Amino acid sequence: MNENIENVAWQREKALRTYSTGAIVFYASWLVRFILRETGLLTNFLDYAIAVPFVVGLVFLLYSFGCLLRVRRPLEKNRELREALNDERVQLNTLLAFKFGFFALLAGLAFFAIFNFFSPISDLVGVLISLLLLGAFGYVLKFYILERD
Amino acid sequence: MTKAELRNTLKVHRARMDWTQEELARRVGVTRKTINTIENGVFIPSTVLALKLARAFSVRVEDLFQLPEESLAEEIRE
Repeated sequence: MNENIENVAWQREKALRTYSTGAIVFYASWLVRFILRETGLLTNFLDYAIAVPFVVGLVFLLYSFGCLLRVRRPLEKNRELREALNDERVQLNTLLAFKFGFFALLAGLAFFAIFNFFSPISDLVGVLISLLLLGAFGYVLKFYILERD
Repeated sequence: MTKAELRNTLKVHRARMDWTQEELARRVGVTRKTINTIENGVFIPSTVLALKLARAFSVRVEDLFQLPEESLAEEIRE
């Protein structure tokens, strides 16, 4: 049982690491493309160049999301395992990660507000998606940092 | 507000019982990482977990966890 706990915890950490890597690559390319498009600097060549890390990040994200779902499966069947892997330290880390995600979202909002002064933003849906992704990825990234050895 | 500090003798009691962090974690229903962070003073456990740890070692909570000034006073007394 104990080996199982450690094994699942290790699998979760590995999946979170892949997810965080994918999230950073995906979001960076998303944001760079968004800023270049809004400032009118996006050329065809740059668009294709940015598409490469965008797709790589997306593949990482989808793969690690699948891994996280696979890690969850044994937890649903085993109460003891579920409680051990969601102990009070993990619960605290979850709260701290949520707080970080919220502040990341606020920081992103401030960034776009300042950006709008210099170059008026036309794509508001893009801003909303950017903020949503920033909050979600900020949460996962902080959780991974808190959880790693 | 300053960060609370709590000294513990978890490692000493674990060595006395010849338990690994994993063994202790299994006995109190947490992960090895949680035991590790408590031992290193990174994470301060809740009252419930502190009681579970004390029960696992068959000692009082005060024997496992002390405030810094208390453990200093104990050292002076010894």
